[in-house]
Amino acid sequence: MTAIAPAPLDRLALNQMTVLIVDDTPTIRLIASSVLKKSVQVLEAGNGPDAIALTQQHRPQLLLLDVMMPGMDGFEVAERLRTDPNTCDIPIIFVTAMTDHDSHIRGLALGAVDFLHKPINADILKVRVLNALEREHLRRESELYQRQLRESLEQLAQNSSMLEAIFDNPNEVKLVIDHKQSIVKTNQYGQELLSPVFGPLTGLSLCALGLTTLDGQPLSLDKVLTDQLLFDCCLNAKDGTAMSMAASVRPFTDQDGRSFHLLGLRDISGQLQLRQQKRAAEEARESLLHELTQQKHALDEHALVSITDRDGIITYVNSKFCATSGYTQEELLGQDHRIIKSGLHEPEFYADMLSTIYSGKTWTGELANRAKDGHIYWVSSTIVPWLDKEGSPVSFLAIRTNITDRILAKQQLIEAQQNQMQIAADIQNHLLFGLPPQNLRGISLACHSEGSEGIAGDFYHFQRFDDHTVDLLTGDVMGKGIAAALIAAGVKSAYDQALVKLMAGQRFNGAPPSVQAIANAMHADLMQELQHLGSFVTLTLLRANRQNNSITWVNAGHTPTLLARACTGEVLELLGENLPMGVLPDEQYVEHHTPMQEGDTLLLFSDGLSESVNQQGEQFGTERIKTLLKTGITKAAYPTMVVNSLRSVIHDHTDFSVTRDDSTVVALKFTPADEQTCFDQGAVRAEQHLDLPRELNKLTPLRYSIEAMCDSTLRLDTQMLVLAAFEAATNIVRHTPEKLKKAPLTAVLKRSEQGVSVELIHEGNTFVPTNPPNPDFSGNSFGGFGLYIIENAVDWVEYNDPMPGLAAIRMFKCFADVTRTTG
Amino acid sequence: MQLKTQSLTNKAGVLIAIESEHLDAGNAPEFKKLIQPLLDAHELAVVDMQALKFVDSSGLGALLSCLRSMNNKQSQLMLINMNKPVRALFELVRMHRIFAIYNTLEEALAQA
Repeated sequence: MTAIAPAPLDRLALNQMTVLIVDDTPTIRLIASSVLKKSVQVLEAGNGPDAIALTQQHRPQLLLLDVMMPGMDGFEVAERLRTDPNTCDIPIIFVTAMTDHDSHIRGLALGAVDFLHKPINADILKVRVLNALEREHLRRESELYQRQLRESLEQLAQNSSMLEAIFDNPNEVKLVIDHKQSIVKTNQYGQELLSPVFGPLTGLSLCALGLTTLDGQPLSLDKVLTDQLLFDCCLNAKDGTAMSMAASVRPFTDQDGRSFHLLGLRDISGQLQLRQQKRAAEEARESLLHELTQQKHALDEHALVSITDRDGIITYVNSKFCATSGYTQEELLGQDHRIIKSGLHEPEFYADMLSTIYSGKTWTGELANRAKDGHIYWVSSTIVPWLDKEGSPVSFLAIRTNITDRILAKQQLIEAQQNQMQIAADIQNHLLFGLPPQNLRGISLACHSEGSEGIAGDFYHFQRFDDHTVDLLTGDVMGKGIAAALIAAGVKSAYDQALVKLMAGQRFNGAPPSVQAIANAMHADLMQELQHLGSFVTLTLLRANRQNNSITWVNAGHTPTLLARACTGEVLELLGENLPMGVLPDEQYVEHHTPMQEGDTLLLFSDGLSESVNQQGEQFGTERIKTLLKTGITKAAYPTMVVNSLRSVIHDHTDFSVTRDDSTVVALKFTPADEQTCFDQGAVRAEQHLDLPRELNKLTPLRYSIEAMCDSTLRLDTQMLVLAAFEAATNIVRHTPEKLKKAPLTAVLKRSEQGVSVELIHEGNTFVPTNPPNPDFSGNSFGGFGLYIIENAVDWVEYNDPMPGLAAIRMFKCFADVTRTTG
Repeated sequence: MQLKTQSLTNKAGVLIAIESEHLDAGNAPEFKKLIQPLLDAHELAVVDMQALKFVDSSGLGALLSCLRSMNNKQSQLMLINMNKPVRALFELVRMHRIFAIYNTLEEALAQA
């Protein structure tokens, strides 16, 4: 308690007390003053207002106040002071000559503590004043004690309710334990929490709560109550219920001096659970972090990783990225990601990539990047956009694997394959598709083959025996590509071997072995190999003999040979009954004889030709081939024209789409036998056919052929024909549509007694120039002379369409010494 | 196609011999590419056509291009030793009037 206790009476310091003497009579003031001055401090006032002023100023402990004063009398002074809170409790001793009761009553009502009657006795005055001062002191002391008592009681009440509140804490069990370790009191929360498990608590021994540590070790109650102020523990009920608690122990003594302990228990099960969850989460996070670190290490070892912001600015690159690109991390960070763009891909490629990742989707693909030193490296890339809550990308993570080696290997493989294919195609062209012999008397030949993969399993082969006898072998190996081409080469070789063997085995009398003998020998030779390879071959072996005007043929499962009769225009199908080679070991091939006449034309083709399909899946069919052949007969077309025409109409049918199967066609015509004379023995020559590639720098053979046909390189007239033909050929090549670049340009050269004609036949539409303007002869124009030269260098020019799908320009030049005739 | 060159004393000239027997659509672009630097470097170019047996309209166009190139810089282009068939083409399209054609180098140089 900190209140100030009043000084005890014996220690009352009178000399520090002030008494105000108020009297209008100076003598009385002097007497009183002189009596009191020895004990107390004295102030004097001669009238009422001065008395009030001094009182307010000095606050004396006592007023000695004269009642009868001029102006303001003593009662009025007292009244005034009573109304002022600062002066109302100052005790007053009235000094008066009046002795009536009314004055006394009035004075007492105004707070008078005593009355002195005039005349004043000095000793009485002194005693009365000191008494009054003592009483005043006691009054004040009493007031102080009362106030302090009141305050103490209030404090006590406050503390008590605070303790109650603490004890009744709804979050903590409070148990009061006596010296026998029995529970003597508990709060409501304690009842609610523990009673359902441990039964009524009051009177229960603390042992019954089964206190252990959190991990189940028993706790000594003595030790707990003595030493531990705060500890965690577990309450264990007999039914197995365990409750984790944070405990606090505080000893106290009651009014009677008995010792108790206040045990506070706070349920920390939830807290422990949270702590456990937090620990588990931390462990999981650590483990995940460790795993991620391992994965990042593995990723960094394997891949090129970079992160860019939304604007493509690089914000992270790993060391492998730097090592591959050749840039340092400092050179890359903050740079636009396009720093490694190779520019090798089409703009659409990059646009597609950007639109994919900016739309929030993952992009994967293979692309080329450019390193700092300019070299290209290939990566397989996965770009993952990181999205904000609205789904907009905020940055992009790119993981790339360097696949440069693989890409290079792939490119080398493709190149190697292309080389291989080219070599195979070259071999095939030389091995399987030789040029037909041209120096036959009365027999003209033409052929063409187109492989579905650039390499055909089709083949043809010619064997000239003499001027008027030729063997034609054509067939189709089951399958396509290189394997089929190699088997085809084997079949051709088998023909040659069979021929050699048969001719060596018989006494050579000039006549070749029979067609069926060759076919059977080939079959014997090929059977085992074909069966081993799981393949077979359809073929036709046909011998044309212009001397006895016949053909002898074997058809081994091949498409029928078409024979167009010149005299009737009818087209026959020559179809044998033999199986393909390589099917049955004991198959006997039987030859057939068919008589021929001049002008008759044969057409041999593989099924790839008749089975060419258009966009609607419709096959070209044998009937259309027969119709075209019939047209050829009507127009007396040469085999080259028939073959080229057939190819042209099939191109029209398939719209130049890649054929599904190899297609091969061979045409053979019995031409007038006397046309074929030796070059240097007369003016009249057999017509010559020349297939030229449609390339400007490969037209020279045309020049040589015309010069040879004209018998002179120096004659000016023939030179003009060469010039016109060359201009025409150049025009055709220059105006060739892309899809016909590979189709040949056929030149047909004819010589008569009057002169020489050159006909250029080509796939495409007939072109007839209509009144071409004269060229610019001023020398200011470098071109435009072609048509003028053609028209003016030869004697006549004709444009026509000799066969379906073909266009032709025919130029004729009279020999200078021959009278000019019309075409 | 090859061009054989030889310096001429006249007017910082050059004699260019075409070492091919044909100048046509097949090799005219190559010829133009080969001859242009020679034309650019000389004020007089004499083209020897002795070896040429065949010239077509493309070859003629290439020669016209050479002539234009020389004329544009007030230089001279002369053709010599032209074979008959080639001459026939020039006459057919009247270019013998456009070009300066001489039988021999001496004749050409006399006019240069």
